[in-house]
Amino acid sequence: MRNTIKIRRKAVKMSQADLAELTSVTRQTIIAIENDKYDPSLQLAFKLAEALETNVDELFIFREDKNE
Amino acid sequence: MNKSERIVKFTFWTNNLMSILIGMVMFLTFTMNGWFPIRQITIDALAIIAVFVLVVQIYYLRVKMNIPFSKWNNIYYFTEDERDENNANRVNSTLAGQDYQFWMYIIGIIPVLMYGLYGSALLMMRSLIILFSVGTISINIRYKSLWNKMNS
Repeated sequence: MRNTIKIRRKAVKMSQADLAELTSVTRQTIIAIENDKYDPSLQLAFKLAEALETNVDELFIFREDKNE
Repeated sequence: MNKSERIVKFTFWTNNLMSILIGMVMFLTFTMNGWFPIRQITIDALAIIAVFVLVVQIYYLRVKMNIPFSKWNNIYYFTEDERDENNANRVNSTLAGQDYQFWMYIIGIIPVLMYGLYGSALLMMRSLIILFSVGTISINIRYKSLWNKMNS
C-alpha cells in the first residue's frame, strides 16, 4: 500500500509530532506509515484522513505486493 | 526512544538479571553440600539482590511508566499504539511457534537423559536449572532482537 501522507501533511503545514498527537499514535508510527513500512488499520486511516482534512482514498493507493 | 522501546530495553536487562540470579540461587541449592555456611550466605545474598531487582522493576513499570497492575498480564501491557501492538503480536507469535517449543523439548529431554545415563537425580536437577536459565535468557534475547527488527 502506498500513501500520500507526507505530501498532504506538508501541504497543510503539519509536523509529524502534531499528526501523531491528533491521531493518538507515536511519531515513530507516523514515520513508519510515511515510509510505507507499516499499513495502518482502517480506524487509523480514517483518523489520518480526518486530521489531514482529506479522504482515505486520496491518502492511500492500493498496490498489491507479491511479497505480502 | 519512545515509552514502549524504553520498557522493552529495561525489561530485557532486568529479566535477564533475574534469570541469572534465580538460576544461581536454585543451582547453589543443589550444590556445594560440604560448604554449607558460605553456600547459605551466598544464596541469601543472591535472593536479596533478586528481590531488589524485582522491586526496581515494579517501581519502574508502575510509577515511572504509569502502567496499572491490571494490565500486567496482557502481552500488550507496554504498547502505546496499534503498531506497537502489531509488533508485540508478531514477536510473540514467532516465539510461540519456534523458541518456546524448542526449549520445551530441550528442558524436557536433556534432564531425563542425564538421569538415564548417570542415574543421578542431583545431576538431573542441575541440568534442569541450567537449561531453564539459559532458555529464559535465550528467549529474552530473541524477543529483543525480533522487536528491534520489527520496530526498525
